[in-house]
Amino acid sequence: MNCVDINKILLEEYFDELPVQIKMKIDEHISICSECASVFNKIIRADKIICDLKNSEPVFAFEDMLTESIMNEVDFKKQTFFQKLIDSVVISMQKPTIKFAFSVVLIILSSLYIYQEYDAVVKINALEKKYSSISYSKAQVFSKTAESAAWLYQFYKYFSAEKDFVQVTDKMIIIRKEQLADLMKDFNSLNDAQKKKIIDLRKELFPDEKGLMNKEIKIDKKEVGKKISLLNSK
Amino acid sequence: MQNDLNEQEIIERAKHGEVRSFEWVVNKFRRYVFVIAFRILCNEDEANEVVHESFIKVWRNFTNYNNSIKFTTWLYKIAVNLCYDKLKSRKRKMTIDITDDMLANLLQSEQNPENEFSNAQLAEKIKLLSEHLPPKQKIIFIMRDLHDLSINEVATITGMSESSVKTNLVYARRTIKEKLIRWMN
Repeated sequence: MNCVDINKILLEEYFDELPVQIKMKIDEHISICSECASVFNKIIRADKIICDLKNSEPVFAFEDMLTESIMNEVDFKKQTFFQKLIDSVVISMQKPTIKFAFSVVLIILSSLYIYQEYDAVVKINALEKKYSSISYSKAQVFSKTAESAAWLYQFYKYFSAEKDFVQVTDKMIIIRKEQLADLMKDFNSLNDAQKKKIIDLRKELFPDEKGLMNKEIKIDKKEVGKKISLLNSK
Repeated sequence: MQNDLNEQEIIERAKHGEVRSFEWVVNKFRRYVFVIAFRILCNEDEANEVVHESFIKVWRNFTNYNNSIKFTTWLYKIAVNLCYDKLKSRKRKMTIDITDDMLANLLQSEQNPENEFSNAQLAEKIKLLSEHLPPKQKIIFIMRDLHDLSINEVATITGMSESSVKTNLVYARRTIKEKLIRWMN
């Protein structure tokens, strides 16, 4: 081992941490080389200075205060409702299982929504095709009033056992006036007692008969159900 | 409260959002974070800031903690990254005018049997030794030689390879020892 090697080792390592064999070789060398012995003494002093710094820890004066401020920021009890909510959502969303579950639910809901939209478009297109030849004078289209008109479908369904006079989709109900005529034929085939029941009901439900198809009809579905069951029980 | 639980169980509970367990974790590890941050930044206020920011980060990202590494290694990684950002964001490189008194204090420190320095003295000594080192070398030297972390841990914390850590460490030691020898002369 020459002077360069020894210099390199001593500058790059700590003498105390060297293997015994290398320490012995260095000792041998510095016993015969005064220049290296001088450098060696300085490096040992340098090692000691670094070692002293390693053994000296700073005083942590504000540890309790810091803990308090950290806990104030994370402690749910001291947070407002919205902070708690945001924190709990953020924390729970970071869990891999929750992330995965949320993604799956999101994908399923998006798929369902897309499917429903697609299905509705397909049905509307089919209906439009079916009724494209029928003018508005023959057909009444309820779109904006679909919900209030929906009970009408149920009402006629009750008497007519599902005649093909009405088409219902999520978005609209289309009632064909010409097919209402078929319903009237059915009505005429009823006996007097049955006719009276329906006439009574119709009078009660539709005082303004002319407006039946042209006006928005606002009658509670539950009310209709009650009245029908009352008539039947008479 | 935590007597009947081991450290790993408490960390696990804190990871799942239990506030009291997290408080235990803060109390247990706050000192480690402060000491390493102080040594890297040589500034008590900034070290306190790093302690605060580190634990808030730990709380917010606890679910990302992977049990395959030691909790302290993960915690140090967060703290050291914050220190590194602070070092980089310092507008001017920290320079100090070295006076004879400062040098005398540093070089005579090995004769002090008690090894008790005030925070200001300690910060001054570390600054004197490491001010000219690039931030990465400084952090590696402090973590390995002053904080006594293993090469493997330093590599995990810094995200560097072990050989790269060793190379940086060699440069840092060389620079510091050569500087000390110059001052002794």
